[in-house]
Amino acid sequence: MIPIGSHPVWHPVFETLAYAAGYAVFRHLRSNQGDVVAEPQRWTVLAAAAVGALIGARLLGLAEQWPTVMQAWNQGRILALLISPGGKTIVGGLLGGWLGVEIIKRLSNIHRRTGDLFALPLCIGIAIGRIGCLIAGLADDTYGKPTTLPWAVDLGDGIGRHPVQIYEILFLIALGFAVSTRAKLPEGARFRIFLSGYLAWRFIIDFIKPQPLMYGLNLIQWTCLAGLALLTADWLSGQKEQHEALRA
Amino acid sequence: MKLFGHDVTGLPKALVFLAAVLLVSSGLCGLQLLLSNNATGGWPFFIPLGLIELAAMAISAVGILVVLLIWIGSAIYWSIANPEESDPKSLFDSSQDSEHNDPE
Repeated sequence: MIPIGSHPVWHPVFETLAYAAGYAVFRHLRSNQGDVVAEPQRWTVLAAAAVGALIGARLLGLAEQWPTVMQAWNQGRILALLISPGGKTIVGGLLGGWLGVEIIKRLSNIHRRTGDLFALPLCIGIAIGRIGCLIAGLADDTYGKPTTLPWAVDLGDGIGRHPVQIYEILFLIALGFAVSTRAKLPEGARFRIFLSGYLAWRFIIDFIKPQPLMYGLNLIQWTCLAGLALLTADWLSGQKEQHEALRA
Repeated sequence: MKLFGHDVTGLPKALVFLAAVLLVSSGLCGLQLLLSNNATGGWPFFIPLGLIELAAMAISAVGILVVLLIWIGSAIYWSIANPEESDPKSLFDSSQDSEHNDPE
């Protein structure tokens, strides 16, 4: 068993590093590869992604703590709960950001696929953020179920647990290579590979996290399924548009 | 009619910055612990980090709302004042596309 302990002080440090590194990689990619939209449209998309991610991450985070939210509501402490620290989820952030971008693109009549430049930065940012989750240990609600495997980690309670954050970092490295392929892919494909890959991964890995279940799955897993269904519908719609364009 | 995405970068840049500040400050549970450790003499920090976190959350949340309102208001005004330029067909032309596909 590998002793790690719980050091939540490092979580915000790695979270800030994650945003900074993700943005640096995004700028590097945009500078090297160019962009499919002009600078004002790109900033519009970035703003929609940031605000959508903020709302999505917080909403799903609060939904995960539903009993606490209801208790706070009954006691008239809902504002205190809303501004309380923590309670954010990556899945909610990704889906909220994606939804925000799709809404702003419709409002702005932006027809190009703008997500490809986000795929690798998101892989790197989430991987760095997960280091903070691992070091935060039991204070962060992302630890794994108990296990007797030799690489189990002790987060300070003497129980060996799956190092799910390390599993996720390894997966994100592989996904990062996949979305960075030099192969020519259709516009938007890299982002959809990233998002579908990450949602599928979270659906699987969350089976070894001790979260409350609803009908056999936790809330994050249900959200991942909904996100994958949306992605499939979006892909089918894109195929149909391409087919109709070819026929015309 | 297109509402957003005109040649304005200041407002969306401000929104991205404020959203990042709110995201980080709303997750600063670790820095609150720093403060409690400081109270027991474990850490050499002498500033009330909890208050800084709360101030960052409040300022960034209000800032987001204000910037959003200004952006939506100015976009609606711009669209009403320049209805022809709001035509979606004028968003991209081939020269723009080739220009923006070039690396910087």
